[in-house]
Amino acid sequence: MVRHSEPLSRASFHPFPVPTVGLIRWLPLVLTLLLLAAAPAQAWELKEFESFVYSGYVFNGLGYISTFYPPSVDTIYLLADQQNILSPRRTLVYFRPLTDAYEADWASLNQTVTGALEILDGGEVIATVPQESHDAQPFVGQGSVVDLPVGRYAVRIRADDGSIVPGSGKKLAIFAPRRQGLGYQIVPQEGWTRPERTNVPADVIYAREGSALYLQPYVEEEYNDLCYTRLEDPQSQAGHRDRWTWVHVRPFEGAGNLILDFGSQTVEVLAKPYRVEQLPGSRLGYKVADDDAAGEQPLPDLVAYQLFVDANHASYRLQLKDADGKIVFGSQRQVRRVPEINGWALYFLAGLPLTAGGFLLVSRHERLTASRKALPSEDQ
Amino acid sequence: MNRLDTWRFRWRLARAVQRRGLRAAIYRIGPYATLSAAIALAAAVLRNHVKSAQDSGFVVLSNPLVTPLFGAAILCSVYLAVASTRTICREREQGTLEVLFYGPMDTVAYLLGKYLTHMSVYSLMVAVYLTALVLYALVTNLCFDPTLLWVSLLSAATTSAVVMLGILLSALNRSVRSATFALLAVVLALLGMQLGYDYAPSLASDLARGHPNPPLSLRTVYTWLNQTVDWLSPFAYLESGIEALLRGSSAEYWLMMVLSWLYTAIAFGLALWTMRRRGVR
Repeated sequence: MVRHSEPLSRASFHPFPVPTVGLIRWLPLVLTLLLLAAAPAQAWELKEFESFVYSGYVFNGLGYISTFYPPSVDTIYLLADQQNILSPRRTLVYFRPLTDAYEADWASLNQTVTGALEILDGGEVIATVPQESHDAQPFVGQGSVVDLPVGRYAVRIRADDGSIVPGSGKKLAIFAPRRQGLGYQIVPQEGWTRPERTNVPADVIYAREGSALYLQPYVEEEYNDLCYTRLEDPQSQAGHRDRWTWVHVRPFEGAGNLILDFGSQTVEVLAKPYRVEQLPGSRLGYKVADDDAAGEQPLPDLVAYQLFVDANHASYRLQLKDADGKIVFGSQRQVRRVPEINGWALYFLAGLPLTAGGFLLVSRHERLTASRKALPSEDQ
Repeated sequence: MNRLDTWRFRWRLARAVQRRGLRAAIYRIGPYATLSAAIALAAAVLRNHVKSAQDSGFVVLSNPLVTPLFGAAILCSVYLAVASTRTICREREQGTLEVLFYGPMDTVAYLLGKYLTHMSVYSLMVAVYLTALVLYALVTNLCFDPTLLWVSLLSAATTSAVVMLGILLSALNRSVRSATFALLAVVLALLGMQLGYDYAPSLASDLARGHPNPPLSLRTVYTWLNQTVDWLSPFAYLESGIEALLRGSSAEYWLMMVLSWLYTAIAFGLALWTMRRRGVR
């Protein structure tokens, strides 16, 4: 059962400390330096340098991805209560302007740094995680498993001789989803390659009359925008700490029928298999069609609920039942038909206030002029 | 005269100032031009939504009328900020302020009257704008939901703060020109910081392009500035309040509402203190 819950107390965790106001005082100097930094590009050559780095194999809600933490990354973002692997390495690092990121030349140097991963909380070591050999694809090699609750920590590598490996100290931000929900991926009949998503019940699906849409329900989780962006791309400059992003983590299993509530009547729609046909001739694109050959092919291209937007209903609601026939919480959405109108006609209304104001001013001016004329002149 | 009678008298004076100001505002082209611009903005946004739905078969939107209402609230607030900034300076420059205070007028009643004038204008503008949105919703079948009323309520609170900031600037400056420049500087700085924060990631990326070791991310600078602006700008209150409303966080919405009224009260207090110190000449 998918649940929508209020933000958990840990959800308010922000991995960054609040900066001091004193920094604002240095703003003009900082901005000047930035402008200088943006000076015209100079001739560029790749310079590799040997460095300590972390290679990661981390869970992002959907599955495991490989990540790379060069020296320029000071904070490692990981999901809470998941097994993530951090592998300390020595490699050659270079800056690649094309991707605006540091990259590793693993082919030239890929050396495992021996030692144990120390996890610190408030400056005190709370765990020492030895490196283990992982030989299952896709991650092969030495690494330490990091599985922590939400919080702000630090990590470093303690070498076998007891010293701290230079460059191994980094901040560790462990975060969790704020809430779970039920989202849908929507595929239009003639645009299979461009699915849209609806994440919350407040989303309304506005569709052209005669459209056929295909809905697939997904379990989704809401993450802090900045944390999730940095989890997936540790060197990214994007993401805002005060914003949130929904991630469709897996298809919703155990879904029953989709209920369409037209007000006067309700209709139940079954999930059906569909196949995607490439349009013939010069019309490039795809079209979703009924899977007539169901059973002959091993798997359909799409299993989804089909919706029609017709002229008889300006709007209706939909919600999903689970396998037991209960309504899935958070599965409600509204579908509204968008009529064919001339978009330019909408601007007509904008002219009315100005016209009314102009009329009012002109009439007042005329009234005042007439009053002045009615006054006796000095000669009289 | 006891304290209650004093306040009753002040209220009558404030209402008189308000009526006079409202009559003058109705015969200015500014409110009509601002409304037309705001409705044209809504038309552009809604036309885009309708066109997207028509072209691609469907579009998923959450509260499509909120963005136009937010834009309208900003436009109207900026107009009223300019109008309120000029109000006291102009009367001071023309000498009418001094003449007015030869009568039974006092500073509290005068400032309250000026504030009520601009808030009345805003209420009328919002009422007309909401009517336009209802008409658009009927024509396009886009959803007009109660969220818009909550946004309108919050926008009244944030506009109240903007208007009072304008009145404070007006009380601080002796000439219309200096007051207008001061306001423009404040508004542009606040809006610039807010928009800069939104576009800083791509800007930072552009600045860092080709640089081997970007020394400091512009996004980080804007993040610091944005935190300051979050507390100083009524526009930021409006944006945060709307985001909270859409997220379903009623506590944060009401916090923004309370902060806006607190902002108004502080600006009112400062304007009162300034007026009393500066006098009416």
